[in-house]
Amino acid sequence: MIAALPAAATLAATTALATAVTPAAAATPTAVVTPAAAVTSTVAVTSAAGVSPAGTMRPAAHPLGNFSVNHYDGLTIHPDRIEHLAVVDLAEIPTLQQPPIGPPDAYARRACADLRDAVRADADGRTLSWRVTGASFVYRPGAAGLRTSRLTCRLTAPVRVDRPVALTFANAYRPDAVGWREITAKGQGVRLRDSTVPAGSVSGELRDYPADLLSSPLDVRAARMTAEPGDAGGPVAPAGVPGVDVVTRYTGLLADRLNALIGADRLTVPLGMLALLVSLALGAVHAAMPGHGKTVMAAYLAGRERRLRDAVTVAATVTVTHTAGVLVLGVLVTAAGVIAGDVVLSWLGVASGLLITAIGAALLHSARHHRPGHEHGHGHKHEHGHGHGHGHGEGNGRRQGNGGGHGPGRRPGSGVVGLAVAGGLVPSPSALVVLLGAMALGRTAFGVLTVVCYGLGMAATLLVTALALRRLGGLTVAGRMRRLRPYSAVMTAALVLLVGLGVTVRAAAALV
Amino acid sequence: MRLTNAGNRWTWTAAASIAVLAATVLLGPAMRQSTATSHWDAPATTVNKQIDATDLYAFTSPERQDTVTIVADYIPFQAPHKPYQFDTDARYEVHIDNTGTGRAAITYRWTFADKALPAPSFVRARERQAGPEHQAGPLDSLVEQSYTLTRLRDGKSEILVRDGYAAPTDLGGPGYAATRRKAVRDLPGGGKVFTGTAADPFYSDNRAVNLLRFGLPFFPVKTGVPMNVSALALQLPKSELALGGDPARNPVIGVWTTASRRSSALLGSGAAGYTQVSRLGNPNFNEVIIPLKRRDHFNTLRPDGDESGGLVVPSTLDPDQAEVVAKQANVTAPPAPRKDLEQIYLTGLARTGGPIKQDLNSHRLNQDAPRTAKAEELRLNLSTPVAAAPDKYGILKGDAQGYPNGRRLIDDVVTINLRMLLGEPAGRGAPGLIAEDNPAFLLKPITDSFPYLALPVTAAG
Amino acid sequence: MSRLRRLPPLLGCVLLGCVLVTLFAPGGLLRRDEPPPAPAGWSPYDLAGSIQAVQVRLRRHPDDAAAWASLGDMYLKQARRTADTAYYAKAEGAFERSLRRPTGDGEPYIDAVIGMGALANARHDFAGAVRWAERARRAAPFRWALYGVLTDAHLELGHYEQAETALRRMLDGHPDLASFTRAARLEQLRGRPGHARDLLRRACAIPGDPAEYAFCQWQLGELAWSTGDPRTARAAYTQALAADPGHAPARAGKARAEAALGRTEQALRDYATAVIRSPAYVVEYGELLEHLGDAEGARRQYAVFTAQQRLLAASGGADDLAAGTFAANHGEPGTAVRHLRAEWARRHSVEVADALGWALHRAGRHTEAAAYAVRADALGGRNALFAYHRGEIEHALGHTGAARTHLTRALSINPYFSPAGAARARELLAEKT
Repeated sequence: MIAALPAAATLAATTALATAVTPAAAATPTAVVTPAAAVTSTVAVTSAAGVSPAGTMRPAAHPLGNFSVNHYDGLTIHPDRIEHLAVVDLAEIPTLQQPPIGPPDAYARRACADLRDAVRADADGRTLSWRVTGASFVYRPGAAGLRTSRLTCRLTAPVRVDRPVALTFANAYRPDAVGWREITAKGQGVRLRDSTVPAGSVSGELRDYPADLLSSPLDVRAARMTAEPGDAGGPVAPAGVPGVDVVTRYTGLLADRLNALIGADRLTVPLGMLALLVSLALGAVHAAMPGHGKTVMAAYLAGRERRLRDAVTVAATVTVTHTAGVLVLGVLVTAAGVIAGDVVLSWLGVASGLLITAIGAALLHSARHHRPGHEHGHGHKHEHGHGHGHGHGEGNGRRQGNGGGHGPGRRPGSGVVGLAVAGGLVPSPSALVVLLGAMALGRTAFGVLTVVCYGLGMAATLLVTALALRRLGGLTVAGRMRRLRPYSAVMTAALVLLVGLGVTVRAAAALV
Repeated sequence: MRLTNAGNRWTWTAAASIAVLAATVLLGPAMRQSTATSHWDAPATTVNKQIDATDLYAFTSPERQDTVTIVADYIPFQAPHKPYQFDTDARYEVHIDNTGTGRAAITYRWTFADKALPAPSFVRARERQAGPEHQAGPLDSLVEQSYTLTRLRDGKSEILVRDGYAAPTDLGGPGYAATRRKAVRDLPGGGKVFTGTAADPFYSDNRAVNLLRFGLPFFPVKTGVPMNVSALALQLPKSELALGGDPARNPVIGVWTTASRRSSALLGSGAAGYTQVSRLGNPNFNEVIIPLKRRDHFNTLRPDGDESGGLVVPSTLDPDQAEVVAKQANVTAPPAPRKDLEQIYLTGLARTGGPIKQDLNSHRLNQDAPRTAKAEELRLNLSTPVAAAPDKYGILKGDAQGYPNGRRLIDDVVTINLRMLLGEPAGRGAPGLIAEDNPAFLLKPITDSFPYLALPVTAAG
Repeated sequence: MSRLRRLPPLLGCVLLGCVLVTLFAPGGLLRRDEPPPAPAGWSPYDLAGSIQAVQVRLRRHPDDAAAWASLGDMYLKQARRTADTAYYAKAEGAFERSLRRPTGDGEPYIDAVIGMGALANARHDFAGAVRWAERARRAAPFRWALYGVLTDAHLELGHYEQAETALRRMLDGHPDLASFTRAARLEQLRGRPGHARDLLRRACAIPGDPAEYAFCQWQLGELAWSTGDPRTARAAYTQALAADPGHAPARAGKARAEAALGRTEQALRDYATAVIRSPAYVVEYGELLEHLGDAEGARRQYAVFTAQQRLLAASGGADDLAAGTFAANHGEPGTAVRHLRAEWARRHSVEVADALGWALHRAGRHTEAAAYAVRADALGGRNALFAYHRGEIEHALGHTGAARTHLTRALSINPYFSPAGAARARELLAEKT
C-alpha cells in the first residue's frame, strides 16, 4: 500500500484539480485507480517518422511555471553526421497562446522547420546545414483541465569526424520565454573532448525536472566540444589526477552527505552509524575509481596466482596506508595552515607513480628471467584452481615458480605490498575533507573512525575485485586465452610499468 | 477470509485516497505557483553596496612618520574592468576623535558629482553591446566623478579640495599609472588625498572568517579578494589630528567612517536631512559583536551615544558570538562580562583601564583629555614607533604598531579578532586555533608610498 | 553443491559490474569531475552566480539558517526578474528551512521572517504579509527590509495611514532605493506626481543591479504614462529594457506608449514579446487588438487570460481583482461583481474600489457604483481611468454636469488611458455639446 502511494498521489492531485474546476464531475474512488481515464481525453498525434515519446505521466503542476517553454537538445555525434533530438515542452499557457494551425503533423513539420532555422551549429567554423528527419507534436493533460504540449524534432546534419573537429551549437528557438534549457552531447563511434555540456539529461529529456531546493533551472543555450575519431562509448572525462585541487574535488554526492552527517548539530548513535556506513560506501567507490594504482593492483593480482591471502594482504595494506596517509596529511594541513594540501597530494601522487613504475620494472625483469617456471605454475594452478583449497600451503611450490624476481619472495610478495602501499599512498580528498571537517568540529576521534571505515571500504572493493578477477581468470583462461598465459606475466609487468609512468606523469603535471 | 481481505483493501484504498485528496487540497496553494498580476512588487532588500563601508585602516605612514594614513574603503566586490560610482546624494566621512568623548573633533567629508552621463554604466554597456561598434574602454571612462573634500572642525567647515579627480577603475588601457598619479593630490597643510578605485587589500583566513562570522567550520585557506574597492585615503600630519596639535602630549586618536544619504520628505512633511546609513570603526565589530537584529541599528548610531545607548556596551560585554565560536571550535571563551573586549573596542588599552595591562591606545593617555567615554572607534597611538618587522598578528605577537592599535594594510584582523574574542591577550585564549603563518597574504603587493594601495585588479591580474 | 558455491562469487562479480556501470557510465550517478569553482568574475550583482554560490555553501553547511534565508530572498528576486512564479515555491522552501533552524538567541533568523512576508505579498496574501512583517518588527525593529514588506502590504490592503507610518520609519532610518520607490508610489496615489518623479529619479541614481534599475525606470515610465506623457514614458521604458531586456512590465508599458504615439506595428510587436515573458498583459494586448478590429486575435488573448485564471483558481490563488476587471469589461458584469466583492472583503484599496464601482455600473447598479467611485478618488490620486469610470457612472445616473467634469478630467490627466475608453469619453463629451 505504501509503495503504491506516490503514483496514487499524482493521480489524486490531477483529479483534485479537475474537480476544483468542474464541480459537476464526481470524484469517485474508481477515478483514482484508473489512470486510463485521465489519458483517454488526450489528443495524441504522432507523425510518421518521429518515435513516439515514452508514455510517462507528466506532473500536474508544471514544475517550471505554467507559462514556461522548456527546451532540450540532445546531440549525438557520429563519425559521419550529428543527430539532434530537440524537445520543446510547452506548459499550459504557451500551448494555448500559439495553438497549432492545421493538422498536427503538418504543424509539427512546420514548427520543426522553424526550429531548424533557429539552430546554429558550426564544425571548425563551417556552418552545418540541418535536415528534419522526424517531427511530432502531442498534447498532454495539464493542470486545471488545460493541456500542455510536447514538440519533438529529429534533425541531422552531415559532418566528417576523421580528425579532431571543433563543434559549436546554439539553439535560439523561442528565446524569450522563461523555462528550462538543456543541451547534452554524446559521441557514438567518436570521442568527445572538452565538452561544455554533459552526456546525459538530468531532466529525462524534459519528463522529470529535478525539484531540489538547491538546484536552479538549467539555462544552457549553447555548447562547445571537440569530436575526434576513436572508439565509441569511451567516457568523455579523463580520470581525475589524484587530488589536483583539494578544495574543489570533494563535492561528490556522498561526500556531501557525509560532511552533512558529521557536521550535524547533535551526533546521535544512528546518525553516527549512518555516517560510518556512508564512509564505508565512499571508500568502496573510491577504490573502484580508475587511477590511483588500484586497477594496477587488480591486474597484478590477476596476473599472479590469485591467492586469497595475497588479496587480503593487499586490502589490509591499502587500508592501513590510506588511513595513515589521511591522518598524517590531515595533521599536516591543520598544523601548518598554508602547506597547501594539494601540493602534498600531488607529491604523493608522484611518489606513488614512481613506486608503481619501479615495481613494474622489477616485475618485467623477473618475468623475462623466469618464464618457464611461470608457465608451470599456472598450469598447476588451473587444475586445482577454483573451488577450495587455497589456504593449504601447497602454494609454496608455485611461489618459487613465478613469484620470484623481487627479492627472496617472502610471502606474500613484497611487490604486492609495494603496490598496495602505492595504492593507499594518495589519500582520497573526500576522506581528507571529512577528517578536517570532523576535526574542525571537535570530533577528531569520530573523524579518525570515519577514515578507518573509509579505508575498510576501499579494502572491501579491492578484495571483491581481486576475488572476482580470480574467478574470471579461471573461467576465461579456459578458452583460447590459455595460449597467452606464458606471456601474461610479461604483459602484466608491462601494464604495471605503463600505468606507473602514467600516474607519475599526471601527478607531476599537476605540480608544474 | 477473502471477503475481509478485500474489505480491508478497500478501506485502505479509500482512506489513502481521502488522505491524499485532503493533503492535496490543503497543500495545494502552497505547492502550486500562482501568477500575481495585479499588485505592486518592488524590491525590499537591495544590493546596497554604494554606501557600504567595508574596511577602515589607520597607521603611521612608514616613510613619512610625522604623518598618519587613513584609508576608508567603500563599494566592495567590484569586478575588474567595471566602473562603479559613489552615491552623489551621500556624504562619505572620516571622523577623528582626539578627546575620547566619542564626538568627532575633526571630520573629513567627501561629496561626489557625476562629471558625465548619470546613467549607471551597465546600461551603456548593454547599449554598446547591442550596437555595431563594440569597444571596451573609452565609453566607460566617461563615468568619471569629481569630489569635494571638506574639513569640519570647531563648528567651521573648510573646503580642502574642490573638483577633485576620483580615479576610475583600470579598464585595460595603457597608462593607468598616470591616472593614479592624477588622483593623488596635496592638501593644504602638508597632507595628501587619494580618492578612487584600488585593488582590495583585504585578505583573511577562511577558517577564521567562517568561525568568527558564521560559527561554522571551514578549511584553513588564506584568501584575498581578487576585486576592487573604492578608496578614500588621507595622509595627514599628526599635528593636524592630535588634541591641541601636540601628538607627543596627546598621542591617541579614534577614527571611524560613516556614510550618510540624503533622505526625503513624504507627502510634504518630514525631514529631508542626511541619515547615517553606514558606520565602521573596528573591523568585524558590527558583524560579530552586535547581534544580527541590531546591526542595521548600529549603522545609524554615533559613537558619542554608545556609552548610554544600551546596545554597544552590553553587546561588547557579553557577545553572543563568543559562545557560538567557542562551542564550534571546542574551546572555552572567557565568561561575561568581557572587560577585555570593552577595553579593546570601546576604550582602548591603558594599564588602568581593565584586564589588559598595557598602555597602548586609550584616550586616557592623552594628557589633556578631560574625560573619556566608552565609544567604538579604531584607536591609534600616533607615538608608537613604526615596527621594523611588522607582524600581521599585531599586538598578539608583541607588535605594538599593529591592530588593534590602528590597523595596517597587512594586519590579519579577522584572525586577531577571533583570537581576541576567545580571550587574548588578557587571558590564554585559544592561540593555536588558527595556524599562524607569516607574512601577510596579499593578492597584490601594497606599494611603499601613499596611498600604498595596489592598482586596481584587471582581468590580466 | 559446487554450483551453489560458484554462485556467490559470480553474483558478486555481476553486482560489482552493475555498481560500477551505475556509477561511472556516462550519465551515471557519480560525476567524475567536480563542479567548477565559482567563476572568477563573480560579483554580488550577478544573481544567478550568487544563487549558485549559496547553493554550494548550503550543500556543505545545510544548517546555515542565514544562507537559507538569503537563498530564499534570491529566489524571490529571481521570480520577480524572470516573472517565473515557479520560484515562489522554492523561496518558500528555503525560508522554511531557515525558520526551522533557530539562531543563537533561539529565535528564527530574522531575514527569513521578513522573507516570508515578502513572499506573502508576492502571492497576494497581504494580510499574511502584515502578520509576518509585524512579527519581524517586534523581534528586530531596525531591520529595514521589513518596512518595505509592511508598506507594500498596507498599500494593497488600502491601509494608507499605516503605510505612510511604515514608510516614514523607513525613510528616516534607511533612505535607499527600497524606500524611495515606495514613497514615490504613495506620493502618486495622493496625487503628487511631481514629488513621485523626484523620488524615482533619486531611486534610479542608486544603481543596485540592472534589474533594480530597470524597476525604477519602469516606474518612471508608468508615472509619465499616467500623466499623459507617452513620449517620456517610452524613453523611460526603453532605458529599463536596456538594463534588463527581459523586463516584461517595461515591455508592455512600451507597447502601450507606442500605441498611443500611433506606432501600432511596434506596439503589437512589443506586446507579443511581453506576453511571452509574462501572461499578465494579455488583456491589454487583446483590447488593443480588438480596438484595431482583430476580433480573432483578441479572442485568443482573452482565452489565455481565462486559462490563466483557471490555473490560478485550481491552485487556490485566485486573483479576483484581475478576473473581476476582465469580466466587467467583457460582458459578464454579474461575475465581475461577485469577484470584486470577494476582493473588497479582503482589501479596501482604491484600485479595488474603482474596479468594483465599475463592475456595479456595468451590472446596472449605478447608485451603489457611485459610492465606490467616490472612494476610489478619495486619496486624491490623479488617475485617468478612475475619472473616466466615475464620469460614466455619473452619466448613467443622469448627472450630466458631474459626468462632464470627470470625463474632461480623465482626458486631461491622460488622453491615452485606454484606446476604447478614451474614444468613448470623447464621444460622450461630444454628445452633450
